[in-house]
Amino acid sequence: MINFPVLSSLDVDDFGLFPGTPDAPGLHVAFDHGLTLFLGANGLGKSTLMQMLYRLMTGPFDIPGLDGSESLGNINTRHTPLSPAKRALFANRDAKGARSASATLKLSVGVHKVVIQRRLSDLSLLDFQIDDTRQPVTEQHYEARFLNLLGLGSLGDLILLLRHIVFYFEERRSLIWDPSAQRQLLRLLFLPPGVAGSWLSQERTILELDSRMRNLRAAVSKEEEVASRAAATVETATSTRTELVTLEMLQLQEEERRDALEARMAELDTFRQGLRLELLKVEQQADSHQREYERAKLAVIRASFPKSSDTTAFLLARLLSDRHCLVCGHAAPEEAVTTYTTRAAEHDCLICGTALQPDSFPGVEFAGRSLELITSELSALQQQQSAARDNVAQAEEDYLAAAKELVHLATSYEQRALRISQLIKQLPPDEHDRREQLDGLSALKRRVAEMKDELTQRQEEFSSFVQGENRKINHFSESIKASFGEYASGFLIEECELTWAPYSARVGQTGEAVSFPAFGLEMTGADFVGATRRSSPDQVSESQREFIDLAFRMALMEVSSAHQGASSLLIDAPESSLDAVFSNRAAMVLARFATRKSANRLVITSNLVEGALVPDLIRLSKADREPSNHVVDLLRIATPTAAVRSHMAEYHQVYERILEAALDE
Amino acid sequence: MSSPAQDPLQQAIQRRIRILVLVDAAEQALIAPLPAASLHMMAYLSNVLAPVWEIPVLEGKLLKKEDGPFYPALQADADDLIGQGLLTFSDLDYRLDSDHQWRLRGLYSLNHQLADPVLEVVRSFPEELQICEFCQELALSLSSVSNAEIPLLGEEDATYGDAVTDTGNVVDFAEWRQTNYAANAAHKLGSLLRRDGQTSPGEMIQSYISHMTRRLYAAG
Repeated sequence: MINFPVLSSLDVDDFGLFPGTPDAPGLHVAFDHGLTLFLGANGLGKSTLMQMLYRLMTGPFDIPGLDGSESLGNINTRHTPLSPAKRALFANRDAKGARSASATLKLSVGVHKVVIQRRLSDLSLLDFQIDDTRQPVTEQHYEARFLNLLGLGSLGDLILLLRHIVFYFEERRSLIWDPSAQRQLLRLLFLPPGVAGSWLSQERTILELDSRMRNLRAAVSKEEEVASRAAATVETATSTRTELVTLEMLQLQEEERRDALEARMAELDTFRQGLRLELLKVEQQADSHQREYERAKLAVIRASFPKSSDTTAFLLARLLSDRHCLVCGHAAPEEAVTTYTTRAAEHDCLICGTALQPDSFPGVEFAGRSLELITSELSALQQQQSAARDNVAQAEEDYLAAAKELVHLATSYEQRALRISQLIKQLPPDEHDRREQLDGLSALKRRVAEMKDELTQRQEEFSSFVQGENRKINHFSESIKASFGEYASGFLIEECELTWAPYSARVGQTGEAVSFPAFGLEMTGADFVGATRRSSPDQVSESQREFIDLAFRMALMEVSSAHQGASSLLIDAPESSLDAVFSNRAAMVLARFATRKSANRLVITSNLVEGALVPDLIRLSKADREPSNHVVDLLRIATPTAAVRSHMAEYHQVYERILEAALDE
Repeated sequence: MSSPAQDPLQQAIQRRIRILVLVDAAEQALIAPLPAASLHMMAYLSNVLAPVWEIPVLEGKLLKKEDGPFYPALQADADDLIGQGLLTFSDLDYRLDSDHQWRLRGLYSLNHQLADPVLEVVRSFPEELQICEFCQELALSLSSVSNAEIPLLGEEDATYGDAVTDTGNVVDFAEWRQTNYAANAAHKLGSLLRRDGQTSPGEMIQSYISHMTRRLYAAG
């Protein structure tokens, strides 16, 4: 559990991009509770503002490779100093290089008030206060105290938290579909800093050891190959030596093949597990539809055949629903089905055909679903079921083929190693000794073996450690699912829910996979009957993708916030990926976050665009403030671009229309 | 432990035998007619606790459902057994479960005239006789729980109720994974019963079921 930063105010002084007005130079924003919206045209510094808020907290540090959208994987999350180019981000937006420019961020962390002031030219710390007490102005001191207030163990974790939870940049990773990023976030959000740090440290040790072991093994293999070739050319060729060289080369190739095969098996295992899950779900759905259909038919049968026993009624219901005769196990002939169906439709006794006068007949609509619809869904499910069975069988076959090959490789490797050992003994004594010297690699080979043993041991210890911590994180899963459900239900038309779905991944490139904590997503859709696991962002629309991910972040924030405290969410240009239908729903979800807790802060940057999102957002988040008080007008504060200068009047008109629309109910 | 047969027909026959044996055991333990939900719960327990009796696991995995274990294939086999006259069915009804899926409800009994000869043949094989004895022990252990509560035992089972496997995910204890907390717990409870460690499989089953029952009642 951690304390999230809750923004209070931002002051930017002497920065060329934000000259402000003669009465109020610079940019000065108070982040009151709820929404703060930075509105402006392209080039007026919206994204720069977001970066500024981010960099005020991270300082001149980052995690290399973090700003992409691809899977986080086994990235090293240790922080490193920013490159000079990235450090000059703000200097490049100011004709004077932002030499005298500074930015001051005031925020709350738990019950404490924090002030952070940095020079914009190089992000150096100018002032750092906690509860109005000035602190030593060093990055080390800032890092130690600020992290302590937040409840985090390292600056790397702060950077991960800000980039994946607090800030929603345009360039971002989809947390819900990146289990490797989830594992880092769940670790730092729900484990005490000491335990979260120990997790990270064990992971890094394994990664480093794995990398060192593989490098050394590759180097030894290469040297071995060179030495073998040299020996073969220098010495008089003998059949023993030729065989030896050939076998040693084959051994090296098989080692590589084994590594590749182990990795492939891990992939195949994940794949077959996903397919098996789908099959089991489809089977459940198919049974449900079968029973729904039987129930419908049974209602008709009961009405026309009131004295039938349950067993008889059930047999007939099944015969009429899927034409399967439970008595003989055969498909019922068309004639029999027609006879029974006609008798049921004409309210005659199904067995003897006597005309009956039942009191009433149920209709063919059941809970708003017609029999035709149920039949068609059942037929679709049966096809899905058949395809799913084939897919699982194929995936299982592939997995077993890989496993068989691995066993075969291990056997042939052992046999070849034995043969190599025999051949070395057959070499003449002087050549045998020379070979040992020529190799000079036996010590290194032993070292590789020792490292591999150490790696296996550490991986086992880490796997056991993570298994224990998984259970602790899992205690929060129901709350996270419930919170996600509340946010997502406002946005999505489809039924959508989180599911606790630990995933297996190797730390490094060798060894057994570890089961890490993660959530998956299940959603109904047009192509499938029932909810299905959506394991990739490609399986949902762009609008859905953005807001599913956003709802997931909001849920994580809400549940992991210490003492159910408040938090901040900063979103750069949310309108870019939304179509018109979803914009109102998006506004509702965002406003729900803004108004859910009195101290929550929602900071959004947006272009001056027509459409309902921005006015809806202002209206739904207004609380006790005037709409205009939610909005920071960058047209007024920022240095205008050439486009803004030439179309200033039009931009102002759009701005006014947005505010007017926000006032309309 | 041998793995279950891969031939679908053979698997279906094994499942049908298991259903007959379970309903027979339920009748002898006076918990029949057996509700459909209890039949599925007993089928699950006969799989997850099979290692305690050292008999093969018939089905090593299932989808975790909020309302407790449910095997679609087993349900289809029960349907066929009704059609073949080996089972009788009463109180036929259909209900929506917590996942908004339709399920058959009703009470199963044996039609002894047709089922007894089949069960007699089944019991003539030593392996199948062992399964019958195991199911008998299971049913007797469950007889202290009401029929309405039997399906609720899933929550208390160490394997099915493990929170790390969420509903809508696969509970795998003997197909591609070999982690069976329920069987481990039964062994552990058994070892606590006697200092000499000579606890019989029957005692292990009994102590595990009564442990689950206590947990169920404690949870209210």
